[in-house]
Amino acid sequence: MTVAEAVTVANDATLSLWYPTDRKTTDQYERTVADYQAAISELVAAPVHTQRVRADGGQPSVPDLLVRRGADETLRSVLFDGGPTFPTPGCTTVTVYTHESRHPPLARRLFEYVTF
Amino acid sequence: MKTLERDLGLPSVLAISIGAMVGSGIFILPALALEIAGPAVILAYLFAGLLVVPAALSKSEMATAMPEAGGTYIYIERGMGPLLGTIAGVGTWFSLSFKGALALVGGVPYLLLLFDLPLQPVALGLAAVLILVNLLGAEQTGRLQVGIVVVMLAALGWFAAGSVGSVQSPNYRGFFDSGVGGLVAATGLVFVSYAGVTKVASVAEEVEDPGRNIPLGILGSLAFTTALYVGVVIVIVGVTEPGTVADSLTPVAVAAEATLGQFGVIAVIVAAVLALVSTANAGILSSSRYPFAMSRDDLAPPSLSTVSERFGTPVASITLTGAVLLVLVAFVPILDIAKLASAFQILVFCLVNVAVVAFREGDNDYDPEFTAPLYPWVQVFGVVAGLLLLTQMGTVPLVGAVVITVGSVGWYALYVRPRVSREGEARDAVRRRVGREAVTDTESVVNERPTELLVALTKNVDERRERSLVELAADIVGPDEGRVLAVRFEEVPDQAPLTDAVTRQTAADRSFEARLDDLSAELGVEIDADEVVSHDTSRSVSAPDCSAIPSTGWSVTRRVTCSSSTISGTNARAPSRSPGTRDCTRRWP
Repeated sequence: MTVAEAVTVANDATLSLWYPTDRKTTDQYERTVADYQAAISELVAAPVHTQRVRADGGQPSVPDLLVRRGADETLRSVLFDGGPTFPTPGCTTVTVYTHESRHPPLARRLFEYVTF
Repeated sequence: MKTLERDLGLPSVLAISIGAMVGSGIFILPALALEIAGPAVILAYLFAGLLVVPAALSKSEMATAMPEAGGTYIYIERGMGPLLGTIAGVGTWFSLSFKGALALVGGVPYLLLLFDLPLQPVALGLAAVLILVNLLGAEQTGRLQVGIVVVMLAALGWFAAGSVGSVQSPNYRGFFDSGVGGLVAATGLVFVSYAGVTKVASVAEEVEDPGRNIPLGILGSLAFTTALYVGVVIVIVGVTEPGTVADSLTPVAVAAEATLGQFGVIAVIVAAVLALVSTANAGILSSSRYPFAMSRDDLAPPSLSTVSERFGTPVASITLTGAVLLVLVAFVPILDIAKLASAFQILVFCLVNVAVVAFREGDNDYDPEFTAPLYPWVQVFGVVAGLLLLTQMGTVPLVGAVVITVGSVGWYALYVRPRVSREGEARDAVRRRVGREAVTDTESVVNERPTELLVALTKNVDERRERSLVELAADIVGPDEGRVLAVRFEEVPDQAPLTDAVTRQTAADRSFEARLDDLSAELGVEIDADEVVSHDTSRSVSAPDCSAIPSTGWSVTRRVTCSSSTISGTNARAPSRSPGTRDCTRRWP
């Protein structure tokens, strides 16, 4: 988020948050995810819009720059990183690796995987 | 809008609850439990009475929040989703079927005291008749039920009060001989005797002043029923020689014969047979509602919710339940039936307690009129005690509970999941919490932006890439007037010693520094350029005491893969001073 926000603000651009999902959703799911997206959008000092992408990697558009999370080699990321990696996004890509001390706890990753 | 008239006072609540609890169990279970726990069975009845309180309170709370729903299964399905709903539905269905079977297998021996007939054919025949009655849709008359309960209470009351004088204290000798294990196992076994206490929930919406009358009704009826059961058991244990009742199929009749004579035995038989019929009938009636309700929620095949036009009853559902009942009566030993009935009930009660937590923590319109006191401790106690009981009851009930659970999960995966996309409140509550935590974490990272950022470059990074990486770093630290440290790492072969000669700045180094000075002026961000020479670039970048780094406090911990074809920038991070710094790898398609 920090990297994406910095680039967006510096270039007077728009930030597009991509959410991978391919589950059958319920109204409640939609409400909760909308609330979450609104909360996360508020953290960013740039115009934000959110976009749903297919979890198997269907890319909605070709942006100027793609910022994505890098997979680490730990078991948990093998288990829980279900999001698409967009291997050939057609644009410059910045891969951000989270510092180990900032990895969310295993339980959170598990719940995230199950509920989102 | 139609609303229910709230006209049930405390006496009605007490009557409904006691009526639902006191069934055939008391005529059968004391002997079975006595075999497990010895005279401590008295305490087992006391503890079991205590352990049902959490579930009763929880279920009542949910009943006042969702009066239109009705039924344990529905609350669990709505609270925790179709998976646990399936487990609860199947669990309750089996529990009630087992309870019905227990009433038949345990009650028929009393009938046989009068007629010399074989036990199992009579039990099967009686079961068939009751199934038929339910299929034909004979109305269950409330008054008859009240009459049966009154006769039962009178007979049991007379038995307990009339026999108390004959109690011999030596009969209680060896009270704790079976130890804690026996006591706990017996508590689990007799648990089913109190299962009816949650019946209050089904009328919770009609109770006046529910905040007062529901807990009072539950506690009052439990106190009464517990006292009655404990009284009966005290008498049974106290008036018979140790070991004589434990083997008996008709323990209350054996005890009555010893104290009240022939009349007492007749009274007990009448009460037991009435209890048998009403409990077995109630078992078939209520358990056949579960396949029906699950079918309406798409958790079971639609045929189970078809109502026969001729009889007005869900024929398929009743037939299936009846078949289960007949199989149980024919093939399963009475002790196992009793244990399994209790075990399934305990399992469902645990889920009921969790469901309340799910509803309360979930962000929704849950607004019960009656709220269970001492939340969430009562629920936690209910779940922990329930699971503890379940594991201490022996192999059969534990395996039964596991089989029901695993089987329901299997059924869910194969049948329900492709058809149902509903989810429970609990899942959404967890989702919201996970989302909030993620937002909080992200917020702290976004707010603590780094003020210094290392850009680690290798010699083969061309100027365009170098510029892009430094610009990216400048974008990140720029708003906070931070500083970018651009370091060019140069690798020399191991054969060449690291002498002063290699550290002398080359024209390329000077040009690198000049480029970055220009870039600094252009971007308006402080950029310091530096060069590091080493034998192994990746190691020097990962080494925390890399020579260019310690003066600024940077430590670079991630090993860098310098495969020039794909990665031109390198990874750097600085956990000690700027916790917000991330590693960046820039790739060019």
